[in-house]
Amino acid sequence: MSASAEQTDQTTLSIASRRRSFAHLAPLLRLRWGWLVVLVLAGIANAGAGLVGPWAIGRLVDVLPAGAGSDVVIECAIAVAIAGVVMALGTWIGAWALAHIAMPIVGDLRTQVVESALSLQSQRVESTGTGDLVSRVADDSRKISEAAAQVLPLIVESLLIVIVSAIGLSAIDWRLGLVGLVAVPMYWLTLRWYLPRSEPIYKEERAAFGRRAGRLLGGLTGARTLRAYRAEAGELDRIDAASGQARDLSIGVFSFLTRAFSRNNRAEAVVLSLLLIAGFVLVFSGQTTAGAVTTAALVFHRLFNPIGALVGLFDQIQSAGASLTRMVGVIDEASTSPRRSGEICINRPALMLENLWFTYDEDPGSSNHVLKGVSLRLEPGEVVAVVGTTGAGKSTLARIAAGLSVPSCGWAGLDSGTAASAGEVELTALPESVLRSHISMVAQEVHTFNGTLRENVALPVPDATDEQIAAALTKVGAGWVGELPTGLDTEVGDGGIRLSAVADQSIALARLVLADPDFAILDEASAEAGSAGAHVLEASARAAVAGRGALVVAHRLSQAETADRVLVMAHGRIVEEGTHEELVAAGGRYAQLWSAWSA
Amino acid sequence: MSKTPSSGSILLRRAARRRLGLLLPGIITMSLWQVCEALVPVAIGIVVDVAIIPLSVPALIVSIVGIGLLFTVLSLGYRFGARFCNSAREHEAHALRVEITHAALTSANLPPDRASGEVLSIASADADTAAQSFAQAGRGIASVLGMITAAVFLLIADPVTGLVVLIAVPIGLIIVALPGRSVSAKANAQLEAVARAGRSASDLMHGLRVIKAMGGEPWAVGRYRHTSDEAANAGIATGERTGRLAGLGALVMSLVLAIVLIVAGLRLIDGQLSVGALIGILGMTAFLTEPMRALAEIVGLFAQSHGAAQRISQLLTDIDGAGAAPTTAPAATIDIDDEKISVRGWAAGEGRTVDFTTQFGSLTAIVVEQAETETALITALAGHARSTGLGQMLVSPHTVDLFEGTIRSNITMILGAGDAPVAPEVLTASGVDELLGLVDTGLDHRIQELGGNLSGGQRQRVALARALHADPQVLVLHEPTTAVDAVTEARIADRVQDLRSSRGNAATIILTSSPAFLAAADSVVFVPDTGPVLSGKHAELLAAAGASAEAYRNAVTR
Repeated sequence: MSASAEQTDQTTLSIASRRRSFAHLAPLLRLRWGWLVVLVLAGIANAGAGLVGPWAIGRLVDVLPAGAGSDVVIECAIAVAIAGVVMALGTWIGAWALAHIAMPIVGDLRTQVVESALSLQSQRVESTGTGDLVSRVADDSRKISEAAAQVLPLIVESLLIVIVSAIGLSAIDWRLGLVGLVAVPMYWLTLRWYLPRSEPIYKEERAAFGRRAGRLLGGLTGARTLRAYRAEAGELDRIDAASGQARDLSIGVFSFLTRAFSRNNRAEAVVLSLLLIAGFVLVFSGQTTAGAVTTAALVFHRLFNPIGALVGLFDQIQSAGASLTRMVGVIDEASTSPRRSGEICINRPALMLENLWFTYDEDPGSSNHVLKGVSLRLEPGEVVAVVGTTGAGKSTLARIAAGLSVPSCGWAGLDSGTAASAGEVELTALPESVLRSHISMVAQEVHTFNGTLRENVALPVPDATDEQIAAALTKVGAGWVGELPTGLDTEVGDGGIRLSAVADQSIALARLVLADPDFAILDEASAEAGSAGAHVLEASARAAVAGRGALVVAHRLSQAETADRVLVMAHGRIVEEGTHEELVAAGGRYAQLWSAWSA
Repeated sequence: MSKTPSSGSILLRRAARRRLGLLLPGIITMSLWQVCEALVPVAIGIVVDVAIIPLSVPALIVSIVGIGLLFTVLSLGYRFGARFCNSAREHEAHALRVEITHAALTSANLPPDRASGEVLSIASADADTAAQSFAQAGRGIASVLGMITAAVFLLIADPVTGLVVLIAVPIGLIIVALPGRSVSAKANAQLEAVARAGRSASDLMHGLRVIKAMGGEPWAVGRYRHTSDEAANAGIATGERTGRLAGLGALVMSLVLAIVLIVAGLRLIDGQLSVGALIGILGMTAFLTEPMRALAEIVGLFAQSHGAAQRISQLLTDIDGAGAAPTTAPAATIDIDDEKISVRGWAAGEGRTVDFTTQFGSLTAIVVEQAETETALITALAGHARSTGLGQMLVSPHTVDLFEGTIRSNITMILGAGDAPVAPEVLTASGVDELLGLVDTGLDHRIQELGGNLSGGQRQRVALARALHADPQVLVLHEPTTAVDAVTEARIADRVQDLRSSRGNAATIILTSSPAFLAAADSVVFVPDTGPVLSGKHAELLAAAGASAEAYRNAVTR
């Protein structure tokens, strides 16, 4: 909350090295080595069969002028036809094998990243911001998926054709093969010229696209405000400028790319001329035939497209590689964060918070503490409300109580109170599933996921029955469910029908009922619902926490009025504590707040 | 620009007309390139025929120079042709984007069913796709010219073989193209599945805090794995289908080559054909598949561009229509004279209408039980505000929109550069002063796109400061402090009242149920679901008797 304004300089998630990223792929590839063998064999057969056409033409060039009959022509035609069958099978099987290798690997990678992102520690995510994570988990994995579907097959095919053709060229005549090798340094020089220049300009272009998208989003979502303030013109100017800048950069990038293609053309012209000159010399000295030279020239001509494709796609290969390193970075980071494990059973525990200190600064000795020694014991079934101004530390206290943040100093844990079971356990020592069976939190952010209402409520208990879900919704008084066209099957979230703020919030409360924890942590749960909605939601929240302990961050003092105990916080400390009546009677800070509130 | 294109085709035609200066040279030079590409195998045949077989050195020298020239024209043709077409495309995409955003932001009203997300996707993706048609036009026309060149060469080199090629190649391509449609449908389905997985991932990450607070990790992984597996399976199916189609293509073209090989070989044996022509014809046969395949692909892509153009023109027409059509009878009549603003005939459901007046120098709070009634008033007020100047009337929306820039630029709404001062009274009245205490750079603290780095309460305070800074004669606020804590809210309410009343000739209307503002208001108007409308001081209404007063106490008690 108060600290979020200071957190603009966020540390970012780590990025894996290229080597590490490919090493991450190795075990996934090893799992599919059979398909890999099929892929390579099919690719070689395909590329090899492609050489038959030029070979047949060269043969005819040699034998027909020498007086050969139509039988040779038929022979060559049959060879070309058979090669066609081989190519067809090779292409088909190769594509099939590649899909069987690439698609599951990309799928695994995608899922791993999401899984890793979910298992990152909350505090880590808070310090990096969710933006980076969203871009890695959503955008990068989409880029990788698209590259695997569209770019990878072209690259694999082109690479194999280039390699096999180079071998074929040498097989026709090793000296012509040698001349063909001149192409290698020429293309290499093109890449050497192209790559270091392309990376920064592509990066700049992508950044400009990002700015343009941001401006468009800001302008279009803020249209109502812009209209109200007659400020459309200023924002439109900014959008136009961002779009114009992106356009100019794109034109520049493309013009650069065409220069790279020109270099390719130059290499083609030089190597083709050299092949013809060398062929001339070899034919002159009687060491090879005109047919062989024809074949060599046609084989090389066949390489124009695959090589062009490889150079043209290099940028996409690089950008897919960058996405991969960012994804593996998340996976690595999640695997190094400490894992909690073990089976712990605690019965009807109390929630203990002892002498909590907390700072958002890296340095634990910092003087800038949000919490300064807060202690609190929540008995089973007890509802405690926390009251205070913005920045008093309420939300931080709630997050620590929910086990989402780790105190810089102090102790937060569960106390079973009976010697027979585990006794005292720190929250951070509990496995996620055990922790959430005891404590669940409805936080400030409300998010309704894309999907059906049923899926949305079932979040804490994925295999909940319809009856359980309906019961949870009924308990929080979600009467609006009855008005939905298809009940629990109604699509909600971004792609579905728009729910009111009250409905979104009551889904969150229904999740809490379904999760059925010992303690509920509620943080400003009714802030955005407006006046009438707030009353409805307060009743829903009371129903949802009935029978459990609860720590309620009270934005509205009526939430404090009904609590068993009220804590008043200021500047990271508890300054008053007692029941609503006691505090009102005491005439302190709370009494002051209450009189302002109930005026 | 003056007339809105009424269909996708008209939009594309207009686009072609206004980019003709780039498009025409682009198409001509691209065609030059494609013709030269077609001539490369012919050139190889000629060199073998005239230089290598007769072993003629002068012919070889001429040949090499010729190849050099051919490649120079080819290379320059592509370089400049592609650049021209690409520039046309980029300029048009930009122009369309500008046109869409201008229409969306300046029109009287967006049709209500057009969410900003949809406009965003039309302004970014569809504008690009529609303009893509220029690149396709360049390639497509060049491909046709390339094929015509090839056909002319073939018929001149040998009419019989040429005719065989010109018949066999299209037939082969038709055989390949027939199942192509189902494959591209599959490929689209796969892209859609990948996009779905992306949306799902993005959705889960946006709700990450909710998931972690509730222990929903297994649920989230389960959901995502399901979508991801679907995408992977679609990918395997598409890969196999695409491969099968490509294999079929290779087979058919090899068979065509075999047929042409027989015909050309026999003609050569008969002495009807030179060796060079044989090489040229066979090389050309292999070449011909390229432009033909490109053409088939372009037809598919063009359909996409047309679809995008259709969506753009539809959006523009909708916006136009919404601007032109007279809105349904206004829900209230608003008049501002020298001493007051009066609202008459505000439709408050059940055939009830409400009138109220706010004198300059005073603050009226409006409490409404029914959301639709509230919306009706706000729509009417906002509609009236648009016909006045900013200094005269402002309706500040409840939803807070922040824009990239600084706290200052978000308050002054001078979004570009600018260093306009903000009055300290505005900062204290809105509670922004407390926020400034938390950041090092004060008013020049950066605000990220959409204000993502501020909390809800902080955002509302900036929006309130913005409204106060604009300082209009009539200011309408809608629930300005729902996310601000009670103590601060009470302080804000008092100071807003002080600041506004210090300006003798300004009226303030606040739609709220916050007791803090109600207590500070000079008068309160309460519109219950049913029953008579109440007006008076907050304290009077709280103390009054009757069903409406009971409803009022319920509505404002927190």
